[in-house]
Amino acid sequence: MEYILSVKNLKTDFVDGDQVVHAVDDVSFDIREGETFGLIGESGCGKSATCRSLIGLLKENGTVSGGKVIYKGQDITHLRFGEMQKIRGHEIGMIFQEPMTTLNPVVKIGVQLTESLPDTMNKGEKRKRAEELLRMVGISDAAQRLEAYPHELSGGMRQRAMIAIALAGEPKLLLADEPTTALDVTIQDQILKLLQRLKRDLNMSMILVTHDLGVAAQVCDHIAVMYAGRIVEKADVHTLFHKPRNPYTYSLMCSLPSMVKKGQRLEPIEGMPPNLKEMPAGCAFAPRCRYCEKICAEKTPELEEIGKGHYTRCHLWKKLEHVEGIVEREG
Amino acid sequence: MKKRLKGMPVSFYVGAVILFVILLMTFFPGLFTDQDPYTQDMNALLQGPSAAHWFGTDDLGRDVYARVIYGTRIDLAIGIFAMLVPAVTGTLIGLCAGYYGKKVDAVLMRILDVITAFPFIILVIAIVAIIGSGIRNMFIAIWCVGWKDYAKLVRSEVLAEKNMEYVAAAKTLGFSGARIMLRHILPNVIDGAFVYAISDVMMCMMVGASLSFLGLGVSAPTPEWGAIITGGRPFLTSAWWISIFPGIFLAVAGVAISFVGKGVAEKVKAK
Amino acid sequence: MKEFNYIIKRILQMIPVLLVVTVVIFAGMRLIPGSPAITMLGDHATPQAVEEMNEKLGLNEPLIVQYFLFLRQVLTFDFGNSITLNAPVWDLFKEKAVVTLTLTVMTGLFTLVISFLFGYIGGISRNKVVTKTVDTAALIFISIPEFWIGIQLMMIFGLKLGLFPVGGWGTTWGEHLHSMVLPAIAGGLGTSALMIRNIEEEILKIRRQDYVDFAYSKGLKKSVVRNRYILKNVMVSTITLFSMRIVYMFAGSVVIETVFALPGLGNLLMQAILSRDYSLVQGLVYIFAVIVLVMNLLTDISYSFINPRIKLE
Repeated sequence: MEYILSVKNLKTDFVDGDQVVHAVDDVSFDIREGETFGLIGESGCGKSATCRSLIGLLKENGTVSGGKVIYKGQDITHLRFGEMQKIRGHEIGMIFQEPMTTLNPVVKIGVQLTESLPDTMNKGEKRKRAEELLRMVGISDAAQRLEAYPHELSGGMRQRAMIAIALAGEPKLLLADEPTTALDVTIQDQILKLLQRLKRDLNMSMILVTHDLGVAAQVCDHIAVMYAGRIVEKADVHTLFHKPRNPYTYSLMCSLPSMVKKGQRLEPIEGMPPNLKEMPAGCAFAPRCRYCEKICAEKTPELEEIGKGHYTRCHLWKKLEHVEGIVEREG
Repeated sequence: MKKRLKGMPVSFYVGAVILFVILLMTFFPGLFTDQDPYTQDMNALLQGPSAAHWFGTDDLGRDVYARVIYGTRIDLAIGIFAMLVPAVTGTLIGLCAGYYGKKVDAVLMRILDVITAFPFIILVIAIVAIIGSGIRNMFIAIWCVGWKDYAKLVRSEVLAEKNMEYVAAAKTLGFSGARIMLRHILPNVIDGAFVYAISDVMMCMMVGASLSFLGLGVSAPTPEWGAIITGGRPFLTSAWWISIFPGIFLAVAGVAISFVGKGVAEKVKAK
Repeated sequence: MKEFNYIIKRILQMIPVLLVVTVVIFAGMRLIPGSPAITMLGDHATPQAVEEMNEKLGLNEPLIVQYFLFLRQVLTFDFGNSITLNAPVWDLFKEKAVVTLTLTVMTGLFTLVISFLFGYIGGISRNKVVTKTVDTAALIFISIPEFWIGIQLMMIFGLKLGLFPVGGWGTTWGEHLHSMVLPAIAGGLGTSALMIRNIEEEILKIRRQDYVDFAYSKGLKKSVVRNRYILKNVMVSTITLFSMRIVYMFAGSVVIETVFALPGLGNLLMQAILSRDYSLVQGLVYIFAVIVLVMNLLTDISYSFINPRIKLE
């Protein structure tokens, strides 16, 4: 099967003072054409850094220090700026978490929309296309909105506008970094449905970064769960939610109201994710893990294929074999 | 203290060392020169820099180096005293306006509106014009105007601070307004004013020198840097040394204060 | 319409401030020791002249009436005559204003060019040495008084090299502009330094914003991101400082014009003060205040046009 994007052993480092932190450590995954791939985990687990590494948009103190990102057979890991700009927006687009800070506050929506349209279009065509894009994301009075500044729109409207802007270059792969986190619950749902529809209509693939398992369960085909910069479990959505074979994935599910069956108790995960500057020896999740044994604190587990396309990073995954179907997939 | 100084930029230390030398000049000018800044020597008029007169002599045969060294005391005093009084009064006014709000605040804002209508230098000049020139009147003029920046600064900080819980707690405990303002709010709003005050010393020195240059501040024969520069103006082509050295001292002192202020500002910001 | 209402409202708000300004100036002039007539006419005036002056100024009337007489003068732009120059204050103002205006504009232009050039270089550069150098140089220039820079510039480029005139502003516009070069540099370096530091800081802040990342993620060219995203946002956040400094430059003409012997308002004011020409001082200070208020108003209005986030209220 042809993958639209392959990530192989990606490593991303951040310099913090005089320390180097491995925010993304040996992350690999493949994305099939047309699928939605979920990267999930708590904040600070490296999922956003992974996402930004894919198109070289790390903050100034970050660098990709190892591994490869292969888009349609082309290695795009260390492209020159000019080459990268041909990929960005036109092949791989990205939407961000906070629409208020993602849109340029002093430039009209219309300009922000038309500027990434191809230069072959004339002014009228660009404008028409911009209106079309706004209508596509569900903004009704498109012509007026083109003249609006970001602060004149509501939160949900801004997020829609941002999506329209990201889609102006007609990307084949959309990176969505927590696209619904900053929104109200009702609007969250609308935006998710919109993203799904657009993905289908425009024949895109999508990487969805989220901390919300419920959201991931709703829209993703494959999911990778990240913890402390590493992938700890990776599987198709059905397998992952029915047969979680990593204690961290399982604990995440048990801690979320939307995931737990009626009558079952909610169990928050004790403790905090490890500080990336002081990673514990052995399994990073061991200090918080209820299945933890001696080996976990001594030896770092490898990512192991335990079923077809189902990977987990746990010495003791067999202990979870009895766990089954704790959740019905919504939708 | 050691911990506090750690991690300061190099420029901070450079500034601190220069300031230390300037303080030495202020308190012990005799360490730097054995000449007298007032003694005239009619046999040595407008002489260029030499071993005997490092910075040359002026049109009355006075040693420019000695005058510049003794001038340190006056310029630094101008900077500090011109800053100090407005800093204290302005901070107190800003505290009251911010804390009591309503009418007190409205009155202050209108006063500020009027003062802002006059550019600083014009207002100071106008006041000096009314009360007459001289160092004392120059201070009065700067005092009349300088407090407004502190009042503005502190007021806006107090407005942000007064809704904090600790203020409400202090009120519940029945503390007086004065006590809450000075003991509780002031320590939390003083940082901004403090940082501003450091650079204000530099600005006041510059204003003082400028006023003396305009003939409205310190006048001859007192050795003040601005006044020495003015004294050298008629001899720019024949005796450049009279006006250049006091200016360099003024600039170096200003830079030193700015460097120290920048270091402190970054420390405060990081807190 | 909204804009129009806002402007009207702001102008109406200015009126009380202007009134208080007249009170302050009136009170200030009455604070001068001695009779205003004598201070205005000089110590050697004959008693007869003094009496005439008292009559003319309404000084025999009660204070409150005197104030309204003064107010009427002010409102009709009749600030009386300058004793020393023997001409109406308003005419003198009109004559000298063009010099100061030219100086302010030139200084402002110089400042804009220098500050955006170096602030941009310092802010956009990924080389720490460049950023630090620009930053430190700026800090040094903030700390040097304008009049001294002016004197040194005049000595080097005027007297030694003879490239620029050392005083006056000539007769033709070519000479006018030529003679303004050194004054504009002397008056603008300090403000440039201040703005360089501000712009640098702003660019560093803006470069970290999500919208810049988003712009790059759209595949935009570097030049588009820099102009439309970074520079445009920097301009919005720098315009307030710049307009405040324009007012400062206007007032700073007192010092610069004295250094370069330019026949402008600042020079006129200094002459008036040194020769104790109080009606001239009073008129000029009032005009300066009005100009500053108008400038502040224009700043606020232009700011609300440039920054779409500021609503006119």
